[in-house]
Amino acid sequence: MAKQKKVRGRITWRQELKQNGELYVLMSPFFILYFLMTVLPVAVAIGLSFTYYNMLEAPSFIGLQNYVNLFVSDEIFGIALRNTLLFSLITGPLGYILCFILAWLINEFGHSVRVILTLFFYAPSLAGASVYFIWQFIFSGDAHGFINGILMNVGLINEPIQWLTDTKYTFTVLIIVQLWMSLGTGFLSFIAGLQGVDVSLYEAGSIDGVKNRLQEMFYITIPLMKPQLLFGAIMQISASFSVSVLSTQLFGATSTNYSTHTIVLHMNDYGTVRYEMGYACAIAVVLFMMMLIFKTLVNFILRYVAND
Amino acid sequence: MHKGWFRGTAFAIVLAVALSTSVCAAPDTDKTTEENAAPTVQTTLIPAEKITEEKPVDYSNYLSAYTDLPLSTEAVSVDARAFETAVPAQSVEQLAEYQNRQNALLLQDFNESVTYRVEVPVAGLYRIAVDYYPLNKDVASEEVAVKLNGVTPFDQAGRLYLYHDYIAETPEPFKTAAGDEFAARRIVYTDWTHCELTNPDHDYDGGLLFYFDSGLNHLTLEQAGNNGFILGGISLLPSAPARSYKEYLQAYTEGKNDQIIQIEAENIALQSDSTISPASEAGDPLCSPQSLKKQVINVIDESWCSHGQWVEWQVQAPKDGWYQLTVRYRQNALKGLSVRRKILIDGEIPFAEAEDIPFPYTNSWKTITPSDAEGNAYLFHLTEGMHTLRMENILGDLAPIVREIDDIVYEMNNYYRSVIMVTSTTADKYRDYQIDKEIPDLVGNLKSCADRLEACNAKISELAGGSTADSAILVTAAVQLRSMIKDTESIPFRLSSWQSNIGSISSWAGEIRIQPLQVDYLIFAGKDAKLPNGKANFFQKAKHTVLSFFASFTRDYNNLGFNEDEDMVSLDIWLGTGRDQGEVLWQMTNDLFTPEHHIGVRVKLVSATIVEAFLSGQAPDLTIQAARDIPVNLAVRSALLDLSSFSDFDTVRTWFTEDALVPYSMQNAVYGLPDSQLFNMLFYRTDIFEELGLDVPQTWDEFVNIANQLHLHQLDVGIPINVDVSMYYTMLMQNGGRVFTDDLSQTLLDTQVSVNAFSQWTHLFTETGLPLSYDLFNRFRSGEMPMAIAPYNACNQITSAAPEIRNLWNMVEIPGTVMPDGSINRVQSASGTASVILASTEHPDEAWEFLKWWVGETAQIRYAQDIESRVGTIGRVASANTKALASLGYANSVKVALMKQRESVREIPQVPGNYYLDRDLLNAFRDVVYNGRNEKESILDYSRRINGEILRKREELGLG
Repeated sequence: MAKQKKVRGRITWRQELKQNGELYVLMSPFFILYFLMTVLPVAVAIGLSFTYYNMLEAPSFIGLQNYVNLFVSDEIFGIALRNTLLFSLITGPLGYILCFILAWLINEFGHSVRVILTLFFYAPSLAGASVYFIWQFIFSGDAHGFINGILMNVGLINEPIQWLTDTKYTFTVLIIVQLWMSLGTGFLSFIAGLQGVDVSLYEAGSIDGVKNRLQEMFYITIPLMKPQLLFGAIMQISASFSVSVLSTQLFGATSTNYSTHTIVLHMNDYGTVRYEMGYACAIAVVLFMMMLIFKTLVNFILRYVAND
Repeated sequence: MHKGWFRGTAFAIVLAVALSTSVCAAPDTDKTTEENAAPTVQTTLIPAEKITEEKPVDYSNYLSAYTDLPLSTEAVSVDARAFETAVPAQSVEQLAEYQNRQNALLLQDFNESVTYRVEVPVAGLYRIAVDYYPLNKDVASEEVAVKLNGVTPFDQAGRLYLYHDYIAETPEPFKTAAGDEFAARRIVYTDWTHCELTNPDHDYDGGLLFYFDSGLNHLTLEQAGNNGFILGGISLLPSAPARSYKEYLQAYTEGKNDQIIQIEAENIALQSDSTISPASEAGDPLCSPQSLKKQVINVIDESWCSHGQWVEWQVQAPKDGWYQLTVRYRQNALKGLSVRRKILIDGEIPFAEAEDIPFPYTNSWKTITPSDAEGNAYLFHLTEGMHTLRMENILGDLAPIVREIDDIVYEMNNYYRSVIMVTSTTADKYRDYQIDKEIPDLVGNLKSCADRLEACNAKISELAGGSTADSAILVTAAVQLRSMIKDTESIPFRLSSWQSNIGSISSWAGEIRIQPLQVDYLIFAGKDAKLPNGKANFFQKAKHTVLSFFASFTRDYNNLGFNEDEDMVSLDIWLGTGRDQGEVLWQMTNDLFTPEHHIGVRVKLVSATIVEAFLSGQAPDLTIQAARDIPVNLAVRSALLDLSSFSDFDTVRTWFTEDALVPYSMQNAVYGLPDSQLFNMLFYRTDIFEELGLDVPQTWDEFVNIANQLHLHQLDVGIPINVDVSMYYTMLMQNGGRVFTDDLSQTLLDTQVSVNAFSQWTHLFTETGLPLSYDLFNRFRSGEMPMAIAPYNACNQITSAAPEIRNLWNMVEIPGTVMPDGSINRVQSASGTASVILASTEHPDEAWEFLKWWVGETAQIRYAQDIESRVGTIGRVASANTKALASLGYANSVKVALMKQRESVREIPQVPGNYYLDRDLLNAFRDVVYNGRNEKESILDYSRRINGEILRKREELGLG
């Protein structure tokens, strides 16, 4: 995509069209959609972030006031920012590594087992909304709840633990569930990547002195899987940055004392509950910038690793 | 999407299985943290025998005392005015004539009763039928009680129902502009009604049997409801079965007959219940009538399913003769089993065999001709002229099984409770409870339960002609019981799976009672007539499917349009609750509103929020059943119309209590009118309270006291919690506090009375130890939680889904606080929805007309009835309108309590920013309960945050 758009040399618009017109035609359906659905909303959000806008009356320009409030007087934004960063730093890499290890392990199995296991581990990302119900049941605060039931039977606890409302546990629960749910797209692309590695390379490697499977992985598999690794990393990070539905489903619209409040949740809170769309847009812009920085960083790291 | 869901579910099941195996394995793993609980044997306060006591004076026990007596054969009729005594004597009004009937009585008020002298020629069991004329069309039945010689013969006789009959409001189905048909509404048939007294528990077929001695008896009929009705007479009907088919055949002569009378099932003449509904079946090519392009009403659907429901059709016989009956039907609900119907012609059972006609399981529509064991079709004799054919839903051979299962479930719940009273639900693994010594009868009782369960399963299998997987739960439970008997020490650790087995049996017994029969048409055909083909073959089906598929492109399924008329103003109305609600509303507007006001209505089912619609300029004229916070939040941003500006607003205002408009008002303007209102009630189990000698708590002190006593028996008490802070408001207002200042600019949570209320609320959890999370329905039905405060619509679920505890629980007013003058203050807040008019509307006056109509008495009563007849008791609406609420089918005693509690409801105003109120109240609560923070500190701290947010919002919106 990026390559296609780059205008080469001094060729004028007209010449370019003449030369590559059919490519533009072929690209246009996606590009129009992409522009309407992604580029335009981002631009509008950036514009609205400088206004006071309650969605029912016309927006009014207030300059940087939203940003000033956000960074100076909004203490909950601080909590949300901290949670989001902490959450991304834990679940992003952890989920990424977990995906990779699982994919690697599963790839070692025979064909039929592999297919079944792939389906099994791919399920979290297919399951959609129904999984929240299951996790609610597992982490229910009822004495008859799943984990509480087990712990009480074993005798570890006497009173049921309120997993979903007690701030001592909420964040951990969120991380556990998110780790489970993130076994999805990244995992599948890793499997595809592993499948795509030419087997003869391993043979060549072993002739050239590769001694064990670890060396095989680091010197042959990982370098060959660069595109999938990059894709997986971006998916993981954007997933962990934009976690919101999970938290609302498990802990309610706002968790106890904002213990699992993320930036996206904060944005929703202001946008839909408090009717302050301008402010919500400012939050969205901050989130957008953060994700941009992180993705560039990941890109950089992976390029560094791969070129090494 | 669907695939994903399916895989997700499959995965979930795998996960659940994996986890549940780990549960089973879990008890052996841990040996680390064990408290040194001294193994003192806990003393149970009640002897175990008392727990296993029989249900009090039940109909089945009553009947078993009279099994040897001869059945009666002669009817006795009683003249309504020829009573011996009436109580109170002056108030029972005598009518010489009423609606073409001589000698009638008006039974108006609760507890009025009349006693008759009845001369019975032969001693025996009689059925009782009452002729009456309903006066209140808004209720489904009259409540009465019957006494024989001054005593209530059995428990059920204390609350019997005279069920009203229903007819279609218009003979033709209702048609949309596009030509689609919808079933006509069902209304109470107001005429003299002949109603046999039946068992309200619906576990016996036919009428209740009463024993009358020969000679003089005294029969008392008591008005047990609040709706007056006219009594036209009482008759005692013989209990002996009808003549046999053989005798019936000999009663008339034979002759050639080639006539065919086809009756479309959807053309119901009279029906027992408003919920039985004609419907459209488009999936079968042979259903008559049939149309590919339009929706046509052509069958009766699964709604004809409950015990005792009947449908009556009119049959015009062209000539005298013998006819065989053919029914085109589908019964795809009870796999392997037959549903049963009793057939009456002209109100009488023609022959004994017609009392139980089976309709076997079939996945596709087909015809059946009821016939005897040899396969000869039963013949019915019809004389020339008009007749009625009635088919009534009976349980037949299932009835004793269903009764037995109910009994077993009840007993097992008792045994379960007797065990948890010793061990609590979470037993100590390192203690030997010596259950078999503590509860000596337990093993024997469980053994008999297991035997009875197996016997029931055997009977079911026999009925199904082999084994049916559907009753597997009975075997599972029996196996579990046997294994528990073998190893009594394991009982305390198998409680939860035991309880879930009991629950499964109970729901199985509930499901098997549902006996739906879908009927397309009925044919009375002479022996020599040729019948039409009833079952579609493959090619017919294939052709139909392909054509339907193409026809679907031109049909609009989602637009509930109206009959277009160019001069008419039309309103867009949004409704977010559901399709049933939308269809009911739309049909109502077509029936009542549009013809009267000449305003068209388009009902749209939307899940999007109104704000988004406003944003895109697509806002409707009105939105109804909007969440509570919507009116004020939209109004403060000038998106709503101030209703108080309409000239007749002051009249409309009087339709509601002064308080009801509070949540929808702001600065002397009113932005919404309430359509539903829900508040809490106290639920308790009468059997357990009786057993433990407890009284219903009137005050919070008594409530806590009872909670403590129940805790002694390892039983629990629940109040609304999790995301519900209503109990705090209750405590606050009962102590004389208020939530907001007069100008609504600040909360009053930092006052002393608020701190006290907050402490009182949190103490219920920190000191009394109420559970913070629980499933009300399951715990209440098992008796593990015999007392709970919950929104009053919880009773709909308990009524419809827990048949084994019917009559064993009650719903009363919540506990209160004793006032200085000795009275009890039971004030509480409420939740609910409202209807609003958007400021962007182009037709404010028409919208106001609609709004007035919608929240008014007529529409609300009609809405409540139609919704209930569509979705059943479980979906009963919580109407805000007093009259509509009173018209709902709650038992009289419950209704009285409900109305009384409703008077104590004080609504809390809504202010901009008050989303912070519930949010931070919960935070404050959790801070205290989880983290042990000081109550006062916590509430003061969070009230500062709440006030801060409200202040911020007020500044933003430029308020005061």
